[in-house]
Amino acid sequence: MRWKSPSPLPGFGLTLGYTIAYLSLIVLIPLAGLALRASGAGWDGFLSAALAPRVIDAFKVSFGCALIAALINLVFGLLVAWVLVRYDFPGRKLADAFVDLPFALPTAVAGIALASLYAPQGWFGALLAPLGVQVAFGPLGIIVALTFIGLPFVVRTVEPVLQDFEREQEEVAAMLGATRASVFFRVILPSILPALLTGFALAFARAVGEYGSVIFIAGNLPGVSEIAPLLIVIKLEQYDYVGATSIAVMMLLASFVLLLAINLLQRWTRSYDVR
Amino acid sequence: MNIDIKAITKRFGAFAALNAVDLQVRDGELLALLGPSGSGKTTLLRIIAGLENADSGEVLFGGENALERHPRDRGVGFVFQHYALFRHMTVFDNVAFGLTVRPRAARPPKAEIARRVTELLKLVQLDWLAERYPTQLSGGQRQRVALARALAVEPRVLLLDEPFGALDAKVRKELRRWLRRLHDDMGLTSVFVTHDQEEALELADRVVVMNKGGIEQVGSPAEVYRDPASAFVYEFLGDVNRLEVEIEGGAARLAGPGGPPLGGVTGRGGPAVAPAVAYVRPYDIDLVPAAPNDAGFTVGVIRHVQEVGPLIRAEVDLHGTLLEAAKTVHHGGGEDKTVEWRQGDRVRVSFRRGVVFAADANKPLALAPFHIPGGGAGEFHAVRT
Repeated sequence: MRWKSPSPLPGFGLTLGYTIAYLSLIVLIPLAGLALRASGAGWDGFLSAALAPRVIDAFKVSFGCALIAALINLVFGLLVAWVLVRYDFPGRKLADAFVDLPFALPTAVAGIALASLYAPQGWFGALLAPLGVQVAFGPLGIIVALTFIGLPFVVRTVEPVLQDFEREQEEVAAMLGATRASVFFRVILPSILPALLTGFALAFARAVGEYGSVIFIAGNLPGVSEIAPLLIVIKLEQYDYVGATSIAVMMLLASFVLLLAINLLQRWTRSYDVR
Repeated sequence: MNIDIKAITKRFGAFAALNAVDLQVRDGELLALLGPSGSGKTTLLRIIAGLENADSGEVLFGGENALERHPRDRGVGFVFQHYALFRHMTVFDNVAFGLTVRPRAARPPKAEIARRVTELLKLVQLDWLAERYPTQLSGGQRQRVALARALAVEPRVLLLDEPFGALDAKVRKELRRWLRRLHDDMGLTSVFVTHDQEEALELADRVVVMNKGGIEQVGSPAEVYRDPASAFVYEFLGDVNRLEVEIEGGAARLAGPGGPPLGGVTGRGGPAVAPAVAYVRPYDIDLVPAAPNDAGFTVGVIRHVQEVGPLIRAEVDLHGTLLEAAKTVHHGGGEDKTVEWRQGDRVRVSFRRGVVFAADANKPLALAPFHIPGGGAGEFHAVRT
């Protein structure tokens, strides 16, 4: 395997060195420290801390809710991006700016706002309560919060790709006899699928790690609506550093495996893009 | 399938893209829509295809109103300049698209689709690339795939929007000939848009010259080239010298004080002075070495001589106006009877033929050479392109 790039562009060594140093400083060294700390208790200690029933339940809540929220964003984020790109209407720029709000808002503020809306006495909660649906202070509340913070990722990754999409491909498909539905599912969707998956992965990753907004709306009932990041904070407050880092390392591993899987899936969807 | 276009008008805001355009496309012909950008040629093509709606007017396909029909029901194959291939599909799937997308009841069985696609790919000589993706093909190959894809649904009409515009010169030429053969073999009615006059003249049965949302002239390539109907067509087709002139007493002379006479203008006598514009093709200009006593004639100086392939071009300064003259070279076989052109030579300039558009006349007037005493330009007419 060659280290040197055969590219005639200069600066490969410098930029690679910089990239590695930067990634090490910002990502790898802190994470290595985390792993080191977790290993302090030995293999058995790590396993018993990381695989305790309460921890497993918290993982299920965290990953399950994040997955559902990311799926919701996949569909509705695409819809939002579609409307913003395809149609011109008064207030389009404003609507476009609103999409970024979940990025900017302190997540705790979002959590409190959503909790008061969906609480049984809140505007939405009061409407839903007679139907027997309780959103706030349960897993549904977590999904709502995670959907909120994950929305911009799908919209912002799909939007430019949709914008660049050749209208002529649609026109040619229509001329060849395709209905609107076939044009969308056979021509447009495959073209934006890689971007859609990227947005999905980002929204999912963000949702897994989310803490601030969730704890206000979740109810935090162990085994039902307690998320893994909260459990880490609880362990820290009890000075159980090994327990906290063990959970963190498990989360890290699970997230890494899932993101890798999404990446591979994404690569497969762009297998046509050979150069 | 003949196509009747009646009074088609299309506006984009305040801009009139098409202004009550009438055109008949004959069954089985290959028609070129030629014009500069913004002339409305692509808009007209897109209206025929149904990709654009006309504000008013009619399009009839074989006598039936086509505008009421959805593009997919018009039986039209469309080819775009930038191919518009589906990037995520193989060449095979691209060509098969028009068949696989049909509702189940109308869809041919898989084996039949495969047979037809392979047949079409053989026709465009790309069957060996069936499993490749469009990004792996060259421009010429992509355009051929796009053509095969358009032909897969067995259209009655083939519409091509600048089909060779994105290709390099050599591939363009090859593909042009190939398209001509394909058109003839398949018995299609085809309309293509181009801004390349050479392409239109070489490929089409008839050429429609468009300008500013209207049709300037319709005719065979030879007709539009030899007898342009308007100043615009004259200027747009082929190389031409444009000269500001004044008509006086049945003769045209260069505009401005002391402008030398250029030739007689037929069909316009009288002493009135009228401003006009004359058009003369470079190879309709003869240059003969000027004699010392030629003061009364139209005499200019050769500023520059250039040999391009079989052509010799000269730039002549005639009373401050630069003209381009051209003649073919006779390399080898046969004696070159014409006089050699040299930079700096004083030459007598005569215009063998040309056309004059007078501001106060609505049809073009012919520019003819004066009778030149003492032999005249006649003996130099041996060379024509």
